[in-house]
Amino acid sequence: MRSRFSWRSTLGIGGLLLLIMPLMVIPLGLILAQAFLVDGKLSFGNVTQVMGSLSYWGSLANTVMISLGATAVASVLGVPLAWLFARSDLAGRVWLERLAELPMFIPPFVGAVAWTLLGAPRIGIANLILRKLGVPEFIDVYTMRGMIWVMGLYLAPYVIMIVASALRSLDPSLEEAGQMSGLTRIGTARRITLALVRPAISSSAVLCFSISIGLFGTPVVLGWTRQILVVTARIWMSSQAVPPDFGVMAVLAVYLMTLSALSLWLQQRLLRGRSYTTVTGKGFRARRLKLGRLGAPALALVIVYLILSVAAPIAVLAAAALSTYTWSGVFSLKTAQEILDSDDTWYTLRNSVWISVVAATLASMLGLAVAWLRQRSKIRGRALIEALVLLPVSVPGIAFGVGVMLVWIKVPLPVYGTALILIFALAGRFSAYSVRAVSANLMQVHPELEEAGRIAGLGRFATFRRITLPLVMPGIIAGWVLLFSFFITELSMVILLYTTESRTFSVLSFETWNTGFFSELAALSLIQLAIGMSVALGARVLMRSGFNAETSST
Amino acid sequence: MRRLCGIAVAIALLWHAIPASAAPDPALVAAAEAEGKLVVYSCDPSETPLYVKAFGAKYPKIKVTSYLAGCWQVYNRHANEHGAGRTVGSVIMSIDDVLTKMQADGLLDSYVSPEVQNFPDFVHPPGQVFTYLKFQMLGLVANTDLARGVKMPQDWQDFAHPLPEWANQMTYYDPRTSSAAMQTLATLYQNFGPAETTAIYKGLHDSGADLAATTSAGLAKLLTGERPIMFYLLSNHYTAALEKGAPLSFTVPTSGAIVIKVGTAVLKDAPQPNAAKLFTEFMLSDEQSEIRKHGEYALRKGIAPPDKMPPLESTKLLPFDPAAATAKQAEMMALWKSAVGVQ
Repeated sequence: MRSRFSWRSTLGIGGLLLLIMPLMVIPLGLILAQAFLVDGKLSFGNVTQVMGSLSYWGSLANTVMISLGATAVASVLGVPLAWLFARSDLAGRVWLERLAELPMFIPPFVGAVAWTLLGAPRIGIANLILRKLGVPEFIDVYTMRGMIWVMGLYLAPYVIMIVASALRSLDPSLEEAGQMSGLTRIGTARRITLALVRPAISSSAVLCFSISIGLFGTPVVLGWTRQILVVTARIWMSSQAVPPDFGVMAVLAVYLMTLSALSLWLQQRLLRGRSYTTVTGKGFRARRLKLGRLGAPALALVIVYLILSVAAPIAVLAAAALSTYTWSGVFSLKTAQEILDSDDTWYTLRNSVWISVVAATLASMLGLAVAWLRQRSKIRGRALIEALVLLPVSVPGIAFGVGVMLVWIKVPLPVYGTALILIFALAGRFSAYSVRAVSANLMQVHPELEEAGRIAGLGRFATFRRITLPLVMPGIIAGWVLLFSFFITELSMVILLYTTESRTFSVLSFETWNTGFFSELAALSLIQLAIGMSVALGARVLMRSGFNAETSST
Repeated sequence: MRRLCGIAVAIALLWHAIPASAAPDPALVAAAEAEGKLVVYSCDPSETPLYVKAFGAKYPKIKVTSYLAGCWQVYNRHANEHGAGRTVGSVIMSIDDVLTKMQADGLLDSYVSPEVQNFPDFVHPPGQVFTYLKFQMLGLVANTDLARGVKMPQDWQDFAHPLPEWANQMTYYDPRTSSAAMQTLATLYQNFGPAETTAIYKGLHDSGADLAATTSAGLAKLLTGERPIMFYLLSNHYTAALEKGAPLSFTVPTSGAIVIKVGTAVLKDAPQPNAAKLFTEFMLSDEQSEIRKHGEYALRKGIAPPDKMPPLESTKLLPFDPAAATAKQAEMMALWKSAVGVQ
């Protein structure tokens, strides 16, 4: 159902643009303008400096290789796991899925540090175990392969979340038809299920690629030793120059935006001309495929994945948190007790939670509006609005943070120097994820359902509220949780913009890391993990119960 | 060199009588309390939270908060805010070369605390608008459990000719991202000249030393044993690790240790100028005895050196000229990049 717009709709679009401009377009414009300014004058000096330097091309090549590799690892791990959690009768799947999401709530740089303790040459626990077993120590997280593995493991939960959400919206009669036509269970999964959730798979791959190219902490922690520098590391170095080299930062940001745009274009090209609608007016009852004899090996596979991606890093964090220092071999509750007793811990935690909740809610509302506009309206310029919202996510946090600072530092409103600037920066940069999550769900919902509502006499808003919204709620929830996980761990942008009264938990963790003692950082990270996971779980329960009540009353 | 030796002698002569700190001017306290808040900008992440907490406890009517980042990042942030007419920070704690540049750029306000009479003259010489608070010493450090039986480096220049047993055992730091590493590079350059400085860094690189982005990243490698020999460590990190039971040794290089001088100043156009001055008073009086407890050298007359650290007066120190370091930063960076083969 494509809406034709009245003046009220146009007013709505105007309001949307009023929000998008200061949150996304102007910060982006200001940072990009720096690419063509040298000493305040128009110049191509920055462009030629970056394009003429082999080191920047080398960093770009590193970025592409690492990001493609990490995306491949995340997809290869995430898609089968999503299928097992969403479509099979795997034992304990609900809790296993929640466990698989845990890495999202650990700041990436902390996860990388945990992996150095697991996979560094000589002292990494994995290598120590290999040494004990008489096997050559072959694990080295400081290589490109190591970086790809660590980043891939960190990204896999995002694939699981997005693909599982799409799989849950799939009508099982399509798979049953496949099986009746003689396909095996695996053949059905491959030729029908996977084909139908291709938008979600490609969407999650694009998401992983976009996250990878913008990641800063992980490649710095792992890549610095052997100078495997990615573009974000170069941007960081430019930001440390005095005065900061905004020109070089901007040109490098354009590199990353181009990469992101290319991946998006490729995704749209792959999906072009096909329909992925699976939710129609015909009702269906979700039915899980029985794994039968494959149940035990599938469960073993999931457990191995969880040991590698969740249990091992968290065990390292727990051991480090209880060590007097890493690795003293002396365990005590002293560090953990000091962290728990510190006012700083709880003050920054409160800030992180409320800022993340407000920013995720703002970004979700914005994402819903833009996705609906794109998928369900005919208004001219809707593609442009979507593109404007999708662009900032491919700009690294440090660069986007500079743009946000340049906007609000000059605006005589109480934004700069308050928590509002963090909320605007987070929502401005990350709303794209909400757009993608909701769009993937909207693409699956056939417009006939909304048309039926209109025929039954519902107005446009009532149709949206009572039909569209409940149907895309899984996407909204998945998007909200995704955003919350980003926001609660975000550092690269927050470190530039935070004010003393809006100091977040990630900033506290980073400051603690700067003292050089991993035990305190590990203790903080475990608290962050527990709180992040609890809020995400609570949000899921609240949103679902709210919607069940809403839909049952209508 | 003569300048720092003079400093050390001055400290030694004035060591014994600890003058009591006077209570701050009641009018200043009242004015600061009327402002009601204070924003501290600092690049001293391990210690500043302690100072902020102690100041807040002493003056509960003043809500004190801090912004902590790398020294040059803090500089950039204040320069941007000041340039836009939206100064947020009121007082800064930073290192020598950053404060020197800030003074040259007109980003600091002049304030001479009455407390400076209890300090040696070098703490606030004429013409300088900031006040030194403390020194951090850099020395050569090893994990004695994990590098047992290995002859340790004794001087900076030993790294120019590394022993075979140091291969793949050492860590050094990146001056592109660490202000302490930048100051170390500058101090070596000023004292040993470009050729010897190049040889030191080339020796580190050629013997497979790990490059760490920050000192803290290197400290983690030292403690875990991944790299048991450190090119240098800050004295406060060293004593903190000792307190936790880490088996570390600290060697003052024979040609001289490097000191990082940490100072404070009231920022230009500070929104809370009186609270900033009161904070300066506080740091120059009450907190001086706390500074030594955390492995740093308090500069107030009569305060002993930190535990497990050598006294400044008997320690050879390498002189450092911050203005010259800032002026030659690009040249030194090019030298370093060429020596270690990074771009």
